[in-house]
Order: sequence, then C-alpha cells, then structure tokens
Amino acid sequence: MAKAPPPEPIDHHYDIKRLTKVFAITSILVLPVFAWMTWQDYGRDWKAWQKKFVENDRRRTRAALRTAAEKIDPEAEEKYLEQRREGARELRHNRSAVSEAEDEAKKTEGAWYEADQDFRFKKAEMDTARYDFETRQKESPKSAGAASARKDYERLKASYEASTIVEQAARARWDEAKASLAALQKTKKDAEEALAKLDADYDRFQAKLGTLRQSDAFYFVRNAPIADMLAPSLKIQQVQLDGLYNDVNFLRSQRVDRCVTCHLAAETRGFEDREKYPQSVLRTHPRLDLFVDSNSPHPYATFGCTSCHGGRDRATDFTRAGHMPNDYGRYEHLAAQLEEGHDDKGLPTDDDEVKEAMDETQTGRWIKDYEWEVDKYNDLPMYPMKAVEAGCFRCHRSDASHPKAAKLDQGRKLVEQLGCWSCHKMKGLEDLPRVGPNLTRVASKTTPEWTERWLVNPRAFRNNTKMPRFFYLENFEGESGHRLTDTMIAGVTAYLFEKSGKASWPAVGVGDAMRGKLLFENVGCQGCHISEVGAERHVMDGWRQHGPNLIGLSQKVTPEWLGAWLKNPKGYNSETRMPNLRLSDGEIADLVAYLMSRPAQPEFARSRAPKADEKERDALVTDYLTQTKSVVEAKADVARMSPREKDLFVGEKIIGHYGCYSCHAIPGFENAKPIGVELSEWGNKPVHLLDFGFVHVPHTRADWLAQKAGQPRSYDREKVKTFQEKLRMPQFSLSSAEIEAVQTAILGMQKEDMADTLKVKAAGARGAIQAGRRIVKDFNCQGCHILEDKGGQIREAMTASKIDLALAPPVIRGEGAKVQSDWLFAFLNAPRSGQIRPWLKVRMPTFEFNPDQLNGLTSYFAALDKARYPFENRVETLDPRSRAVGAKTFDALKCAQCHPTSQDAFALALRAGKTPADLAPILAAAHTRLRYEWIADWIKRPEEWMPGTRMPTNFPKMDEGPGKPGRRISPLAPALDAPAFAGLKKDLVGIWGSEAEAKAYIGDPDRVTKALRDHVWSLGNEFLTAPQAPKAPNKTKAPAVVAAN
Amino acid sequence: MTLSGPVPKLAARPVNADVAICGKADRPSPSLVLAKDKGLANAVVWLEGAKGGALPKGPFSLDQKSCLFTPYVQVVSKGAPVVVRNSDAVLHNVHATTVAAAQIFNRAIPIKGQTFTETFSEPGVVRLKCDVHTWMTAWLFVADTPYAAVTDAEGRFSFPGVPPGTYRLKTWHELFGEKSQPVTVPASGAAKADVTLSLLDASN
Ligand SMILES: [Cu+2]
Repeated sequence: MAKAPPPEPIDHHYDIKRLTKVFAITSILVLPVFAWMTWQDYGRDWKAWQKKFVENDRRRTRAALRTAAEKIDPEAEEKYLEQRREGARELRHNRSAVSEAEDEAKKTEGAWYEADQDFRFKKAEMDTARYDFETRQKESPKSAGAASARKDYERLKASYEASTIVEQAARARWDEAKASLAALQKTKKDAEEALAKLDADYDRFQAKLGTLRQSDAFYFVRNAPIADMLAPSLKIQQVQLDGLYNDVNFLRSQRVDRCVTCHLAAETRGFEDREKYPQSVLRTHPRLDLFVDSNSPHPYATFGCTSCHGGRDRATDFTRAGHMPNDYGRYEHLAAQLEEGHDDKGLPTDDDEVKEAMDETQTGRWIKDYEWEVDKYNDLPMYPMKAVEAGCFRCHRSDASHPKAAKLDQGRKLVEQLGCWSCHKMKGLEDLPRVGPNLTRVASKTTPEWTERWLVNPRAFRNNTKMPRFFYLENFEGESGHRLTDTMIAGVTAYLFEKSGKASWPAVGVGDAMRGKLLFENVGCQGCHISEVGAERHVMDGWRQHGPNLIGLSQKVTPEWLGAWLKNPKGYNSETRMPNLRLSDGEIADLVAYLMSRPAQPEFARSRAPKADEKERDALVTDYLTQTKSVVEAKADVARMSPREKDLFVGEKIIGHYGCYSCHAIPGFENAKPIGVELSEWGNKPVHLLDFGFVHVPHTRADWLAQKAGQPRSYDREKVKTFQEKLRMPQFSLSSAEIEAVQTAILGMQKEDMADTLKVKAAGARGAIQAGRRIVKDFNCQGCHILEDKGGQIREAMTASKIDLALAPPVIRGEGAKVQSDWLFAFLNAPRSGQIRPWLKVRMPTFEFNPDQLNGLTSYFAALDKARYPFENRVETLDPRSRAVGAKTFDALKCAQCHPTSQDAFALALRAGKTPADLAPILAAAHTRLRYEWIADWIKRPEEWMPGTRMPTNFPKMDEGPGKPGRRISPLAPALDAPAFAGLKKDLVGIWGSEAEAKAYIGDPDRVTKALRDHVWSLGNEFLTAPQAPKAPNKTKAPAVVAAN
Repeated sequence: MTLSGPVPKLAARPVNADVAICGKADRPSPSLVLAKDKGLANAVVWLEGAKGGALPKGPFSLDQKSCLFTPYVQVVSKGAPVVVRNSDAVLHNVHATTVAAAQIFNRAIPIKGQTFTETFSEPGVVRLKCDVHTWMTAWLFVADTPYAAVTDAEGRFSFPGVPPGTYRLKTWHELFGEKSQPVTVPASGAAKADVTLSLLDASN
C-alpha cells in the first residue's frame, strides 16, 4: 500500500496562489497602460504631420495620374491602335507630299537663281552705263555721245527694273515653296511626337497605378499601431551634422536635426503652392536653388535646418522645437491690455475686441492650433520668420553685404552707418571708417552756439541725420534733469572748442548761386547728398544719404570753411571719405553761394542754446572728483576752480561718459576704449541675463532688443539710479522698419561655433569680391554708378532736374573683362575728366584711395568677371592684314560718325555742330584702357554686354527659330557687291588676293570684329602708328602675343 | 479722325549731325500732321475683336531717306517681315524699343542701299529712333488683326470687308495715346465712324 509521499521540504518564500493573483491584477493594470502608451506613441504630433504629407503626396500623384488618364479614353487601347494606323497612313501621305514640296523648292530655287543672275548682270550693265553717262555728261553735256549714253542708260535701267520684278517674283515663289515645305515637315514631326508622347503617358500611368495600388495596402499594414514597431514608413527623420554643435552648458554636442520629421515637404519640389498648402510645414522650402537642395550652396545634409533657423535640433514637438511667432510681442501687449482693461494711453479697451485681436495674431493661432507656449528652457529658440535672415549672419559675418538677404543687408547697413559698431564691439566690423566727422579742428568750422543747439536735438537741424540724440531723454526728465543736461552740453561744447586746433581759411570769391545750382545738379554731388528740408532718413535701400543733407549750412559753417572743404576735403579732415571733385575756384565760389543759400529747418532757428547751471555743475564736478578723492578734497578743488575750468572738466568727463570719441576723433581721447557692451555674440546671450527693468516686454531676445533700440533709456523707468548708473545709449529715432532690420542683424551675431571647413571662405575670387564690395560700400560708388545691377541713384536726382540720362555716370558692367587692370588702377588713383566721354558734366572724383584699396578694387572688378588678374596679355604686334581690313571696315561701317578717333576729331565734331550727348567714347586711348580681347567681343555683341546700349548691333543673330540661339552673321559679305562698297571690295581683294577670300573674311563675324579691334587698337598707339604695308597672303606669321605686366 | 480744340505748337528739331548729307535746316516736328479741316494724319486705327480676313503678309518696308524715316507711322503685321533700308550715304541705326523703352533691337545700317529684315512678334506700338541723328524718329504699329490702318493726310481711314457685328474701334496717336469707342458694322452697306481727339485727352 503506497503511502502518499511526504511534502517536499521546498522552502517557498512566496505563496503561489497569492502571486498568481498579483500577476493577474498587475497584468490587468498594465494592459490599459500599454494600450495608452501605444496610443500615445501612435498619436504623436509629428506622425500626424507625416500622414498629412503622405496624404498630400498621394493626392498629388493621383492628380497627376488623373491628368494623364484624362488624356486617355476608356477605350484607350483601341483608340491608340486606330491612331497609330492613321498616323502611319498620314506619315506615308506626308512623305510623298514632302518630297513633292522638296522638288518644288528646288525648282523654284533654280528659277530664282537664274532670275537673280539676270538681275545682277542687268544691274552691273546699268551701273556701267550710268557711269559712262555720268562721265560723258560731265565732260560735254551737250554732245551726241552723252545723249546716246543717256539713252543706253535709260534703256538698261528699264530692263534692270524689269529684271528686279522678275527676281522678286521668283524669290517670292521660292520662299513660298520653302515655307510650305517647312510647314509639311513640321506637321509630320508634330504628329510623330504627339503619338510618342501619348504612348509614354499611357505606359507611365500603368506603371504608377500599379505601385500606388500596391503601396496603398502595404502602407496601412506597416503603419498600424504596434506593427509600426517593425519597419514603419512613418518614422523620425534625422540628419547628423558634422562640424555643427550644440552648446550645452560648456559641453559641445553634435547637432542632430529632426525637423524634417514633420517638414517632410521641405525637400520635395511640387508643394510650393501657398493656397493649396497653407501650412508651411507641408510646403516646399522656398528657393531650393539656394537652400536645402543637394545642389544648392546650403545642402540639407551638410547644414540641416537649425544651423540657420535656430531652435532645438532634436525636438519633435512643436513647442519644444522652439518655433517662434512673428508677433509674440504684440500678443503679450494685448494680453496686458486685457488684464488691465486699458491701453497704453490709459483709455479703456473692449475685452472682446482685444480677445479677437489676440486670436488673430500668429501667436494666438499657434496657441489655439498647436498649444504653443514659450519654452522657458530653450535658450536658442528659432528666429521668427520676420528675422529669419539673422541665421545667415552666423557664417556670413565676413561678407561685406548680403545681396540675397535683403533685411539682413538693410540691418547691416544701419548698424554700419549709424555707428552701432563704434560703441559696441562687433567682430568683423571693427575696421570700418569712423561714422562721425573729425572734431579735432571743429572750431575752424562752426560755432559753439550751433554745436550746443545741435547737441540738444540733432534732428531739429536735420530731420534725417544719423547722429543720435543723447540729451533730453526720458531718464533725465524734469527740471533738475534738464538743468543737468544743459550743464553737460555746455561742458562738452566748451571742451571741444578749447581743445580744437585752430585754422583759418582763405576768402571765397563772389559766386553765382544759380550757376552753383547747375553745378550741384550736374557735377555729381547728388550721388551722395540730398538738400531737402524735412527729409526722412533713408539709408536701408538708399545711397543718396551717404553724406549729410545739405541744408541750413549758413547757420552752421562759414563760406570760407565750405570753400576750403570743397577744394580739398582731406585738408580739413584727413579721414574723410568726401572725395575731391577737382573744382576750380570759380566753381567753388558758385557752389558755396548755392549751398549757403539753401534753407534751414525752421525748428532749429527757434531752438534755444542751453546754459550751464552752476549748482548742477558743482555737483557734477564733485561727483567725479570723489571717485578718486575724499569729499573734503573734492569740495576744496571745486571751490578753487574757475567756471571755465569746471566746464572743461565736465566736458571731458561727459565725453568720456557717453563715448563720443567712438564716432568722432576728439583730442585727448585718442586711445580711449569704446563704452558699449560687446555684441559679437549677442545672439547667444541667455535671456535671463537681460535686464527687462519694469517694462512690459515679452522676455525674448528679439523683444528686448526692439525695445532697447526704439527707446534706449526705457529700461531705467521707475528705477532709482545715480547719474553714473543711468543708461547712456542714445536715441536713434528708428522707424519700425529700421528696428526690424537692426533686430535681424544683431540677433544674427552668434558664436561661430562650427568646424573650419564649414566657415565661409574669405580667400580667392570670393574674398576679392567681398573686399571690393566693402570699398564700394564705404565710398558709396553705387550712389552714382549702377554696379552689380544696383544703385545709380543719382539718376533719380538727374531725372528730377530734367537732365538727359545719357549724361549720367556710366553703368559699370563687365568692367573687369573690359578694361586693363593697370588702366583701372591708374584711373581710380587719379581720375581725369574728359578723356573718354568729354561731354559728361558729372565728374569721377578723386577719392585718394590708398594702394590697398586700389588693388582691392581692381581685383574686385577682375574677380566679378572672372578676368585675368593681375597679368594680362599685352599686345604689341598686330597682324598687318587684319589691321588693314579693320581700317577699311571701320570706314565702311562709318564708326567714326559717332566715335571720335582722337581729341582733335572730337573738337572737330563739336565745331561741325554735333551735340556731345549724341557722341560715343573717343577711341584714341582704347589701347591703353581696354582689354584687347574685349574690344572684339564688344563690337560683336554690344547688346549682350550692355542691354539697352546705344551702340548698335552690326553682327546680328540669325533667327533660327524659337529656343535656338542664333549664330551671329556678318551682313558685310553680301553688301560687298553694292556699288557703294566697290572701293572697299577693291581694297579687300587687294589685301586678300581673291574675292572669295575677301568675302569669306569679311563674312565671318569673328574675324571681322577682330580686324576692327586691331584697327581700334592701333588708334593713337605710338608703337603702331606707322602703318605696315600689308604683305602678300599666306606669308605673314601669326600675330605675336607677348605677355607682359 | 479730327483734332478739336487748340492746336499744340511743337518745336522744330535741330539738325546737329552730318549736315553735309542731312542738310542744315531744322526739321519740323513730325508728331502732328493736320489737314486743313483738322483731319489728323498718322494716327493708328484698328478694330478689336473682328474675326476673318488674313493678315497682310508683307514684306513691309521702312526707309531712311534724307535722314528721315519713311513712312513715319505704319501698320505692320505680327510676324511679317519688315525690310529696313538705308538710302543715305551716312550711317543710320534703327533703335527699336517699346513705348516703355524696353529694347527690341538696335541695328546699325551703315551702307547706302543696305537692307536688313526684322519681324515683330509682340503686337503693339514700337518706337523707332536713330541714335546718330536724334531728330529721326518713327513708329510702327504691330497688328495682329487685318483691320488696322494709319490715317491718311486728311485723317481718313477705311477697312474693307469687315464682317457685320459690333466691335471696339481703337485708336492710337503718339500725342494722344490710346482711345477706344464702339462701332457697329451693318449686314450690308458701310459703317462710318468719326473719332475726335483733343489735347485735353493727351495722355503722353
Ligand atoms: Cu540716322
């Protein structure tokens, strides 16, 4: 009898039954969690966008298929077969028609050729008879010979005229035959192509429909919940960016952009339409030629998205990614109104209206649609789209201008011209020319009285001035603030005039203001200056406010100073960029008379001069003295100092306090350091380090900056500060457009945190172009010249003064390829008027460029046109035949009718009554100025070098049908048979030995333009002036080309 | 076509180049040619919307003779050849632009008797000038309808064979710009249209 085995002595630390229960409960609990998790993951925002994109993509493909399908009937196949049969039949028919037409064309051509021969002979006969008649007529008009010659001539003339008609008719028949042949051939070809296209459409349609059907089913399985863990087609898309980093609290981590996870459309062409795809996330990135595309300079694989746009690279959530609306500031502003129930002016507001306005902002819409909020933990959110070009600056800091980023370029111009960089160090902008005038000799230019009133409010004198206002701003309000301000102004003025060098200027003759006005309008002043009371500042897109607005000068300067200044600007201020216009004393007198007669702004005349307040002055002196001395000592000093000494002391301290010397050269401050905060990497400055004071401004970098730039002292509001602590930034009176531009430029100043290989190269041709653009910008070349297709704004002023634009400064285009670098160097160094276009009243001024600038400009022009630099081909030997042909052709084409070949010829043309404006450049110096190769190219295709030029096309392009670039032809070969050309023909045959060769030469646009070029090259060329006798054909050597510096 | 109201006085154009061939005398302005009864010559008239009829095939001709363009105003068909000729022993050029001064072509024509052929693909007014002789100007009207004409010395014009219907009669003159008025062509017989311009509508 078996006994039940005793229970095993296994040591259970748990109760299985209980455990089973725990497991059961846990799994019941975990199940919904798992379901919730799966649902959450399945429903992540980015997936929704990817789905939408996929949906759009499919819709687009389907639409494309539908279009393809529309071209195909349901009974497509049968129809195709039918069409093919028909096509073949037609083709056969066409073929025979074509061959008939060909025969017809041949026949009519033959007929025409005969008629043409007849016509030519008749013409020659008639010409001979005419000559005969003319000679006889001249010798003895009444003789019988003359009469019979006349009869002959008239008979032959009649027969010639008859032959003309025959020839024309034959020609018309031939043309008609050719036309109908061409038409038939085209019909045939069109039919073939249409058939082929329908075939291709049909095939493509079938193929795509197949893939779509297959992928439709597969897509849903693949991306279903849970199954999507295996190989989803919806997945996070990322790109690792080598050499680009994130700055995570002193740690660098590689950037990995995931933006494309939602922005799937960015890379794909075909989603550009804003109406079809209103959400930018589903649209193609604009300008794929510049961005994203792998063939663009900024391919996605290298730069990703965040290196330009900013934002958090790895985020796949709308807010976390750092999206930033354009109008967050406005939204917050409205929110404050809603809370307080009144607007800025204290007027009550309607809550519903404010709410509605809030909802209409981009910020409001984002909050509603995407639950957007400011991500406090994100130090580098994206640039709002209005400032998106800030992203360019990070790498393109060393560029002189930003032609493809308009707002950044404007901001950069403002930062440069308003002198932001003078007080705030900005890497890359350190070595610009000082923006303010040199004040080391200010006492010889203006008066203390004017200076004081100017300092009170510069805009009262010139509404558009770039000088900011330092005084009478909000943090010096009230009686005592104004007394202090007046004391400071008086001190500064006293200091400037005390330290100023003294000079006296010679008297200016009595001038005529009317003549001065004409000079002002014609000589070129208006490229850089306006003279307009009340003008608004316009420097973002303008060039004519490069120099000051010339109004109210009679209140500011003496005629003597102005005369001396115009005669030699560098004589007064060695750093000035005002060039020398080489004006005569008489011209200067006229110009001074005109400028001194220009009106002034009325508000300046009414303004009062500030007076120093003794008490405030003593307090100020004491305040400064106690920084280094005890109060007792300071008080003793104050008691001892004369009022003048106190003024000078205050002046020096205030100039130092406000950093006036950063923009102006001021004696005693030669080595002083700028007072502003360095802004080189301001774009990375953490927001929590910015002092928002008590001002209601959203806590973002952009909003802080806008407030600071617009109302620089506003962060002092409601603060208790000592004089020394008060904010010092002056008021630039920026317009809202200017603020936005400045914002873009300053936000862009970020750490250059990237591998060297990714940095913009500043060497080679690119470097030369940037260096040149820098000089062009500093000296405002585009005020007068259209250069790189921009500028030439003086034309506006000339138009207003009703001056013929043919007299405007030349358009600079292809200059590097056109002129010799040596010539350009010499010309820029010492321009002379009257050498090339003596009729121009506008003068290229003397800028007194230094050798670096001269070399910079010459290499810039060469680099723009990819021309050889610095060594060019120096041609000193010419092919005698080419030169001789050139001389003959030059005469035949009557080039000299417009182009004087020497200064004498120019004088002669003027005496003969020609209007200078109708003439073309004098060619005497062409060989010292122009590039040898260029001359021929210009003669061949002037309209391509300079669209709209008055130089006519002598070698037109043949019309070879649409889309085909026509060959250029020389109409000279057929013209050679004209009687007017008999002389030329004889000469050319003499040079070439045979008519056929002469015609071949002159009928070749390349060779004949080179011949013309050789002739032009020889004009006024001392080495070549003795004409060499043309040698017999085939014995000359090829032209020697000697390379020389 | 007639001019009503005051008649503008236009300054003569001085001859300031190649006087040996062009002559010294100032050229009267060609811009306004009036008959005794104030019929306005050199205006372009065309029917908008009239179907039927073939465009004249050309070739049209434009001569430069005695340093003037002849004819001063002419209608040419779109796409038809225009043969330009120089009948003077000086260099002329033909600088063709749109009214808005956009370049069409600029060809030199240096030799007496030389010709070249151009076609115009855009309908509308073409301004012609010779840059060498600034007084030389002329106009072409590139038409894509056969019912287009230039008024004759008496200011008259006619379009034979217009299918019956109602059209817009458009006119253009260099001093008065473009104008239009409706005109109805009956099923049989002729339609008559009088156009009156005055300086008050001068648009350019
Ligand atoms: Cu001419």
